[in-house]
Order: sequence, then C-alpha cells, then structure tokens
Amino acid sequence: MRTLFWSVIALVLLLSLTSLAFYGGEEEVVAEKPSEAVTQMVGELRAQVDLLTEDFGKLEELIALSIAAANSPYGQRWIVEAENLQVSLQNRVANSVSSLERRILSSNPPVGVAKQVQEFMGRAHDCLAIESHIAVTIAKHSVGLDVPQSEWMALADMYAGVKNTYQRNMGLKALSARLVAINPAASSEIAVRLDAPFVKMLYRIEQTTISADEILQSGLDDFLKLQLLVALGKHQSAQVVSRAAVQLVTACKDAKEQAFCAARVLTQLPGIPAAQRNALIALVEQGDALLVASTKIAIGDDAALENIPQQYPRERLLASSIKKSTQASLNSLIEAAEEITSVTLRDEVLLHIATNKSPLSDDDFALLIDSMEDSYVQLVAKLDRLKKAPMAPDAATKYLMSLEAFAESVKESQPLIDLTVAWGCVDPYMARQTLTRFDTPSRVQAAVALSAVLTEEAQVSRILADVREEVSRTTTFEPVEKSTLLRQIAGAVQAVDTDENLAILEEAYRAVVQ
Amino acid sequence: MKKGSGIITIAVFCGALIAGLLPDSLAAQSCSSCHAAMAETPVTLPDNPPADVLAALSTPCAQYGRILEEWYYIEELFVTTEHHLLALHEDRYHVEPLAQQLVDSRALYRAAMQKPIRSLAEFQQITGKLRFDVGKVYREAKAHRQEQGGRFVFGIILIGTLGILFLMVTGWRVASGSGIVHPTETTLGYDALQQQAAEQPEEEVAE
Repeated sequence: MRTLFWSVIALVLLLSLTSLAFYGGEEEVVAEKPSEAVTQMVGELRAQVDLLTEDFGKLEELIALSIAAANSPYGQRWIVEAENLQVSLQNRVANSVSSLERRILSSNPPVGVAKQVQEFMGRAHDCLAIESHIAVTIAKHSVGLDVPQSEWMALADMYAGVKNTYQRNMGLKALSARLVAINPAASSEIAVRLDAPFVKMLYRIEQTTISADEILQSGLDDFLKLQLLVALGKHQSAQVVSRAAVQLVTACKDAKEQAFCAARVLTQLPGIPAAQRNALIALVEQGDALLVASTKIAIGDDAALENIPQQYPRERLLASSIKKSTQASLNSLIEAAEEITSVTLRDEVLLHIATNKSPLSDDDFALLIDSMEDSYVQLVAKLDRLKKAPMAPDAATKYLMSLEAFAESVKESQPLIDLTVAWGCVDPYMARQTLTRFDTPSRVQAAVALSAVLTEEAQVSRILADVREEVSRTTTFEPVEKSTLLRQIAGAVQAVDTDENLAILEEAYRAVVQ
Repeated sequence: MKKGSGIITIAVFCGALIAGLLPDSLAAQSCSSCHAAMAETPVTLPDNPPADVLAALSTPCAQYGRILEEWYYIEELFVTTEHHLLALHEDRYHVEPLAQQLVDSRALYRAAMQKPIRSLAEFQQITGKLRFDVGKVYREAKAHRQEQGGRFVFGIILIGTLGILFLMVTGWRVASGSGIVHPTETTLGYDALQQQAAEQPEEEVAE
C-alpha cells in the first residue's frame, strides 16, 4: 500500500514537471523575435502594399473621371492611363511584392510575422480585383473606344482562376448580366460557362425558363431548393411557387426547421394565396415566440409580444408593428409608441408616423413633434411636412427660421443639407449663408444639391465657384479625396457651363496624377 | 431526430462548403462581385434590421446575411445601452455625459446606416468603430449600474451587521447587568449580605 502511495506521488510529480517543461518551451516560441533583416523586409513590404493601395484608389478615380469626361477627348486619354496604371499594379504585385513575400517566408519567420505578411498580400491582391478590370473595359466602351470580343471574353477567363465554385459562377452570372445591354453576344457566351447547378438555376429564373416543379425535382439540398423557389416567386409571382413551397416545407423532418422555413417563405413572398398562407402560419406556430411574432408582424397580423423575454427584440417588434398600422388613430399610435423605452426606436416610430400618416392636421403634427425627443427626428419630420404641404413664401420663411433652432443641435449633415435646399427654394441669399455651417466635403454636397433647385444661373455659378476655390486651396485633402470633390462640383457645373466642367475635371485629374 | 444525425449533417454541410458546392460568397470582395446591378446601385439596408437574427441566415448572399447580422447586433447594443442609461436616470444618477456620448454615437449610427454599402468589409469597418464608441458608453453605464447594485447590497449588509451588533450588545448588557434576583433564590447581593451581617447577634461575632 505504501509503495502504491509513493508511486502515485512520483507519477504526479513527473507529470507536473513534464507540463512545466512544455509550458516553458511554448513561452520561448511566443517570445521569439524576427531577425533584423526580416523586420526590414516586412517594413518594405508594408510600404509597397500601402503604395499599391493608394494607386488602386487613383485607378478607381481615373475610371470615374474618364466616364465623367466621356464626351470629351479627355475621356479616352484618361481611360488609357487608367489601363496602364492597372497593368503597372499587376506587374508590381507579380514581381517586387511577390518576390519580397517569398524572401520573407523562406527565412522561416515567426508565426506573427507570417500572419502579417499574409494580411499584406491579401491587401495587395485586393488591388487586382476582377471587378476593376471589368470597370476599365466597360469604361473603355463608354468613352467610345473599340473593345474587341476577345477582350470581353478575357474577363470571363479571369473567373476561371477562382477556386470557389459558387463565387466563380456568381461572378460569371454578374458579368453576363452586365453585358446584356452592351454586348448581348458576349453575354450569352459567358452564361454558357456556368457550371454550378444552383447558380445555373438562378440564371434560368432570371431568363424565365424554369418551373417550380423542375426546381423541386432537382437533386439540390432542400434549403437551396427553397431559396430558388423564393427567388422564382419574387421574379414571377408567389402563386406560381406556393404549392411547391408548402410541399417542400412540410417535408422537413424537424418541427423547428419547418417553422423556420415556413417563416422565410411567408415573409419573403407576401402575395402567397390564403390557403397556403394559413398552412404555413400553422407550421410557423411550432417555432419559438420570437419567430412567431416577427413573422406575424411582417405579414401584417397581430402578434403577442409579451412572451418574448428579451427587451430589445420585443421593442423592435413593437416598433415594426406600430409602423405597419399607421391607419389607426393618432392617439392610440402615440400611446403604443410610449411603451417603447428606447429613444432611438421610439423616435424612429414617431418619425415614421409623421411622414406616412395622412391626413394629419397641424395640431396632430405638433403633438407628434412634442412627443419626439431627438432634434434630428424633429427636423426631418418638419422638412418633410414642408415638402408635402408647400406654403406661401412669407410663411415658409418663418417656418424655416423656426427650423434653424433645431439645426443648431443636429450633428448629421443630411438633414442640414435638406434645410439648405429648402432655403434655396424660398430665399437663395439665406441658403448661401447656411453653407457656412458645413465642413468642406459636406459644403460641396450641399452646394451641389442647392444648385439643382436654384433657378438663376449666375447664382449657381457663383456658389459652385466658391466651393471649387475652397477645395482647390485646401492642402489637407488626399489626392483622390480632392479629385472626388472636384468631380462632384464638375457634375453640377455641367448644366450651366460645359467649358468650366472640363476645366474642373482637368484639375481633378491633375490632383490624382500628382 | 436520431442521435448523431446532427453531427453528420454538419459534417456533410462543411464538406460541401469546402468543396465549393454551396453558396459561400464570404470570399467575395464587394457586392458587385456577384450582384451585377449593385456595381451602379450599392446595397441599401431595408427599413428595419431583422428582429429575429436568424432571419439574416436565410438570405442567399452570405455577405448580405452578415451585414444584416451586424446591423441587428449594433442596434441591440444601442437599445440596451439606452435601457441602462434610462434605469440610471430613474435612480437619479447623473448620466448627462454618458447620455451626450450616446447622442453623438446615435448621430454616427444614423449616418452610417444611410450610406450605401459597397462591401461587407467596408460595412464592418464602419460598424466596428461604432461598436467601439457605443461599447464604451455601454461599459460605463453598466459599471455604474453594477456599482449602484453593489452599494445597495453593501447597505443591506451594513444594516444587517449593525443590527446583529446591536442585538449582541443588548444581550450582553442584559446578561452582565446588576440583575434582579428573585427573593426566593439563595444567592444574595452585596448590600443584602452587609445588612445580614449587621443584623447578626454580637456573641456570634465575638466567637
């Protein structure tokens, strides 16, 4: 007995020492540091990838600029430059960046460094996205350059290298859809290359060459069949797929799975006939309270929310339920909204009522505004009211002056831009004054939106010239950011002065290439 | 359902996913990789996030499902933080700086949710920053509530301890005080002994 006792003690000690030794070994691995040469190479790789990402941004901007200048000689010149830049990006990734990656990995770096290299290479490959090749080719076509058939097919060939079957097929399907209007022959030829049954069927749904029974009889997984049926129902009508959908959902073995699938069909195909609808609702009722309530509210039925234990989904569902019943009396709607404790959700509901309930008297509207807490929501509701019920100039000026009080505490730029536009319809001078409250990017947006409602060309030119000057002078913008803002201004100037439009686009181009 | 059939289903699903037979667009770089129309019109979010997060799983596009899921969780975080702040406010706790931070985050949230979405990565970048900001308010609000709860528990314990101490002291005083001795008892107090001695006959004392 004594021997056994000492043996156990010895075994425990041995195990403890072994685990300690292992633990100590791991510590050493974690603490391992890369050599100086590896650190230097990683730094170099990072710098190269940063430069690549920056140039990729320039490539995207050049494509946008060439499309904006499609009707001028600049368009063709800039898209050729964009294509050259794309080739240069490809070469840089294939040569210097990849060789640097190989050198780092061959030096057997620590795990952390290897992961960092992997992340950098992911960013580098993002710059070679097939979508950017498609964008360049379509832009070439848009500016009037001749694109041979082989070039269109080369785009499809790029997808051949994508390993994931679904992604490859979805890419080909997307390309085929984009080329329908540009080059129908290439579009059909690309569609033939689809080899995944699911994507092929999705394509056939869009072409209206497949029936619900054919989907049901296919050898696909039940969940995929259901997705295809829903897609077919959306493309044609819910009646076409209702019988097949109920058959498929009923065939699910598990009650919870049946409830889940039935809920998806009901919420995504609202036009399903009454008989099938009732059958699906009966299946949904096998699910938990949250699923039952969310489905019933989505299809416009009354739902019991008390059984949902968590406060967040309960309040969200209550909000959705109130939003769906704007025809009820205002007092009952406000009373129901007051049950929502979250300010964000309650104000969202009140805003929805204010913008969607009609008719709404001035007193009712004032009552709604008083019930709101956030000045953003109050401002949006009041601007919407003005848009729906235009006033006489004097009354509108007074009304807009009262909105300026809300504007002081609003931080989002969109409703303030809308306020500037509203001023533009009543008092252009005041509208111009309100531009001073924005930062430069928002001021450009506001000026562009304002120029669309102003009737006097001189005023438009002056406002746009002011913002252009401001953007040109600002030195803190990145080249692409500056070019994007100038491009927006150029788009607004085009309606009043074509020469000025080209001059601004040229300035934007210079900002990018510098 | 038979035992183990779930594991087999998962294994088959994973196998199919790895083989690329099932929809797995998570590797796609942008919405336009798969959805042609979205190259011009990027995704915009529907009116409400899915009230049931499982609904996000039912979209055929895995990336879109993830976007809906992110949206659900960010809104849930917002609303839960608001509930914490409301509870603190009801308890007359000074929450003004936190409430202001939440208002700022709400403005960012609204702006972010109105932006067109070009890719899951871009959306995650926006929501990640937002989650960080709202998360800070949430943590602080929750810590205040916990602190408040802790104070309440501490108060109860303190009152209980003081009560027990009071009872102990009272009991001790009763036990060790002058005490009223029943006349029938044989033990006598000091005064009674003195009186008894005074009343003793003198010869007894002389002896």
